[in-house]
Amino acid sequence: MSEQKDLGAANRSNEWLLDRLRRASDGEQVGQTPQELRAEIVERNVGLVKSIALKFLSSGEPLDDLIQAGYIGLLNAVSNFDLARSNRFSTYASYLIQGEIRHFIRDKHSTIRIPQWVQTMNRRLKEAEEAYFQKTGRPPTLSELAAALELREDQITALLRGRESMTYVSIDQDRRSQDPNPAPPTTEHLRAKDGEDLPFDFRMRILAAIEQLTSIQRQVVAGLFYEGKSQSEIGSELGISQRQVSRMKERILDELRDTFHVDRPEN
Amino acid sequence: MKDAKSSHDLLTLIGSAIEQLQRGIELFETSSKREGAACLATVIQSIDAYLAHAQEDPLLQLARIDSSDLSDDLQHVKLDLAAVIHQVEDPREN
Repeated sequence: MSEQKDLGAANRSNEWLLDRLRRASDGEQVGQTPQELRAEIVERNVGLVKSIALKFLSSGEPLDDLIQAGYIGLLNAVSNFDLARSNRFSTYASYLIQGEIRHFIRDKHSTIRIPQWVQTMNRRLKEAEEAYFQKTGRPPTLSELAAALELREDQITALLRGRESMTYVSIDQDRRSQDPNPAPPTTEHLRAKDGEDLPFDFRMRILAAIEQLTSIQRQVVAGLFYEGKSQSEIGSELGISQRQVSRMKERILDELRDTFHVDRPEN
Repeated sequence: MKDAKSSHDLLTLIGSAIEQLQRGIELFETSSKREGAACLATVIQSIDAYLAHAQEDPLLQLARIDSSDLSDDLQHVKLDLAAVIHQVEDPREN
């Protein structure tokens, strides 16, 4: 009967409380109701929710709202945690808390916005793939795709990576659109994906950041080169010389060439 | 040669940020997650440094970029990177 001995609030681990919760839910007498045990687990993990919410303050959303979203993840973790899987509860809860906070922020800000030009390029890519398949009966190689679209192979690779990140986003959107509160992944599901899911998540987020930056870059370039103003006019507006404007544009082009690995023209 | 203002113009920031992010991806793929995260942290610091002086960037006026929209966009970039760094700093324990 030592298992049922009350350890005192300070010594109750999440796992110990969850074990009691499972037994209470099965009708066993453990001295507390399931509701009381759930409340105790949530109270015990308030600090975890707050610490994760603080990491997302740069989203601009109020901390209280981030914490509220985090609580949803915590409650899902309490409901779905599987003791038999021997993961730590805090690890599993952190995953779900972060997921709910990210979902909340995405809903508010559309965090991962796919730039229009990326969508256009992916549409062209898909059309070229389909046209090639219809013509030859087989999918095109990277070099054949590059030739069809008049792009280099590394640019096609970059587009395919972009498409990978778009697919990830659409999966999440589909999942949420079918059910606004989809069942959280179980610990078994997380274990099954461990080792491949995490790096992919990293890559998706970094690629989203790169896409966002290239989108900004294109806005700047469009503003600079498509307004039809002369360098002298621009210089007058900014209070700098035409020569300074010229140097600035040259540097911008260098940056663009570096970013997209385009060879510099020979002088 | 870079002039004094070059570290505070938007395209220099983007060029160096993309370079760092691509390097970050390479490091993650070779399992150097801590070093990859350090690359991402550098980008966040660069964005913060840029935003602190963004009003002095002539490119924004030149390209007619709204500084508050830009700030929002860069905050989104920071948010994504911060999430990755957080995952690296708080690895799963199985």
